[in-house]
Amino acid sequence: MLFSSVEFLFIFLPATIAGYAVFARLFSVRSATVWLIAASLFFYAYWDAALLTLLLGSIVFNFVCGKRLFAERSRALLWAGLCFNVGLLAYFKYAGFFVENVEAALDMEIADLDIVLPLAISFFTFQQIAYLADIYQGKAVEPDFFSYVLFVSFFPQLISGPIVHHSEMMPQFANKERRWMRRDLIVPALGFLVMGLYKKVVLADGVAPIADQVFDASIAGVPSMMDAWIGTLAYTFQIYFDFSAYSDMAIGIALLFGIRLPLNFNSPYRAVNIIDFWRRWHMTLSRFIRDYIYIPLGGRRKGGARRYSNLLIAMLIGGLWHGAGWTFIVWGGLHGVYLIANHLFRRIYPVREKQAAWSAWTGRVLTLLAVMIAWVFFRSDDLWSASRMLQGMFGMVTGEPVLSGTRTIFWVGLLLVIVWFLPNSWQVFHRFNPVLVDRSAAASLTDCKAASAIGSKAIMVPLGLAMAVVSILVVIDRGSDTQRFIYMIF
Amino acid sequence: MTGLAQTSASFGGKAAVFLLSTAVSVFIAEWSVRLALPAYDPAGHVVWQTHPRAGTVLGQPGTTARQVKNSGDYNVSVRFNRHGFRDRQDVSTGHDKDMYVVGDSFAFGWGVEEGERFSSVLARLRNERVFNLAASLNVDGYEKLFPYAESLGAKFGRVVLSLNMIDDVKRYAVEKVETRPSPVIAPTRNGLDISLMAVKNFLLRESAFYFLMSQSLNHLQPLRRFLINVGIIKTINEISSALPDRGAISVTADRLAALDQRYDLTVLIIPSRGLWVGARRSETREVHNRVVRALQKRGVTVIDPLPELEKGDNPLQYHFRNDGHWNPRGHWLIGEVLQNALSGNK
Repeated sequence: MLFSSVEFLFIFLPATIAGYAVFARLFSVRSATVWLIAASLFFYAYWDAALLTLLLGSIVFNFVCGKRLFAERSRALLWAGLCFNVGLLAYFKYAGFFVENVEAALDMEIADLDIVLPLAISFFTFQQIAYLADIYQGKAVEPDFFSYVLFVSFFPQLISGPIVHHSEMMPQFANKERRWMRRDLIVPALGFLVMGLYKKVVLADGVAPIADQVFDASIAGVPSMMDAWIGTLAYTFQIYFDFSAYSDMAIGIALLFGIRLPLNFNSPYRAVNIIDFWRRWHMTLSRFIRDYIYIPLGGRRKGGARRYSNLLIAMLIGGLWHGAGWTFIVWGGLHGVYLIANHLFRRIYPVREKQAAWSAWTGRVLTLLAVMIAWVFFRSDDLWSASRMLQGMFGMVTGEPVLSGTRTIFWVGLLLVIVWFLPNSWQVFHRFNPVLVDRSAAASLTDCKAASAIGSKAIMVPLGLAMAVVSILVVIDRGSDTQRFIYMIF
Repeated sequence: MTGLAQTSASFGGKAAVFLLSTAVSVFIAEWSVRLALPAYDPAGHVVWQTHPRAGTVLGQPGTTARQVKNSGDYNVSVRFNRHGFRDRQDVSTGHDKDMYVVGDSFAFGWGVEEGERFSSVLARLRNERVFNLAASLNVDGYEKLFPYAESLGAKFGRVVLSLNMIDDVKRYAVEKVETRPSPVIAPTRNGLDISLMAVKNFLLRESAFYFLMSQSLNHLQPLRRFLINVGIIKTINEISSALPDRGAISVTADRLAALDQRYDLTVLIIPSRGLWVGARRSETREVHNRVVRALQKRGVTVIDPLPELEKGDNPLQYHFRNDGHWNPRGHWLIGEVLQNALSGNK
């Protein structure tokens, strides 16, 4: 059941809100929480009921493990918990990849593994690893069982994040004064929901066929230089709007239940360098990698070379988190190299207080180009296809054109204007305080001057209405032919 | 006063911003639909253009377009070959042992996939090549297709020419003027109605957003019934076309008889829906029979599928629900009728 499907928008979501309202009004917030847990588990089971056992097993194990850790800060217990979680990921996500590569290296058949990747396993496992690690370090507060279950399974963020942190969610779930459909949050809730839906069904799914055409062609041969660039740019925007859409919808839906999620996406293509990019793209994953991989590895505490190797390792793990495949490892590695280069550059040219416009724009364009090249690996079926795409992009081989007409150039050009010059959802609705943000993100609030104008009622009402009408009509028209969110497969 | 003036100015400013943003929003909605659902983008729909060599309208050579009906009856792909015909085969390779289908939108396969139209059915049933030379034309245009195809290298053998009883039978001018009635809706009753229809047709032709919206409204049956009752939506059954008089029948039959002198012609009659719906059923039937007789009298071979269409007491089952053209089932039936008749004739 996708957020952008008819059954979710017109049946599941209204029914869940109605049930929540009834329980909250007639009984208690606690009973409404139980209802929300039931709805979340149903939402998960709707994909594959058999995998619900895995989710519930993981929740119960980690809750019990956490409880024991609260009672006794045992290193052995922490390791047991971490091994369980990493083991789950290793088996379900990476075993097939590992066996496949060993088989290729040894040129022999070892095992025929046919493991179904459980939905959202990367997300709920990371959340729970953070939870156990923080208990051990004395940074967590012991939750009640229902708050914990909801922390892991809360349906707006269960499938594709944000990767929420117990310290920001548990107090909200435990709050007995929590209200649903808060009047001050209705506008941003619906705003985020509509903008997210529009980004998904119109922009991301609309531009996807252009990217698909080129990347599919790269399986067989080298695309022409023009096609390779347009196809890559199209995918760059597809994944941007797809992920941004999910994040927006998750925030909007959570707000309907009076819950604020952390900001996960902050106009990353406006980043002026790659460090800035990772502060804006999948912000909660960056936070997890920083706090639970990079810093435990030593961070920058152990000198230059060690710092950079830690950075590379962290980004390689980040790449592998996205998928079990060499393309994801190369993608992560490439970003690791970008980050190292960026840090080295900063050592030579320290960051200035105020960056000149030309310098910011040069940085912005170069960052986007670097990110695009990395996306080639992320999107390609294998390294060979990626190399064919890059050969096409850099004119090393002249390929056959597959895209026709100037329309594709118009669309990708238009999307570039949107990502560079229009405010993001948070900038439009920030006055409602709809998300949890840290200080570094808050500083970027001013990077789009059009935000306050677009956020005014006279503009937002007709624009929001048009976006809602178009999105709903498109959802109805596509019917069961709805495209998945890209991040769902991670 | 100053306060009032300020309030008015402020209100006026806000209203202006609101109106402007509403206009921009409609524009955004239009382009959003074009991006999200390219099938509804008017730029991707079938475009007829005068082919300089053929001297008549044909499809845009070498292009692929879509035919979509906002009532949801069809959404099909149309590919025009390099000569402007909707045919995977190249007519320049046509031999006199091959068969050729000439006609208008029915023969073109309006609303059905290329493989579903009756010429393709006939090719499969006969296991031989059947070239399709159909476009949005009438007898004036059909006549021009023959020399055009010959100039490409085709050698005509047997030709099935489909004669549409709705709008092919008319008093053709001596000076042949090419006209094509709108396939959508004819203007009716009063001025208001005409302008409403004109706006509707314009939006249907030019706006993807309107197309999607009207399609969605069409699917909501209670709303659709309401809009029909208030006259905003016209059903296919309300659309009437003028019946041809004896003179028109005679002129048309003469023109086809002349064509028959030069080519091995078989005329396939495409019966009007007016035979089964509307107030002039008996007159329509009379005209139908008169046309058949006029052609036969001039020695033209005629295949009239009317008895086969009426066999099951529900001839409308072979048509789209909200569009007068044949659906895939109708095309299949006509293919079989043609095969039986042509085999008998052989």
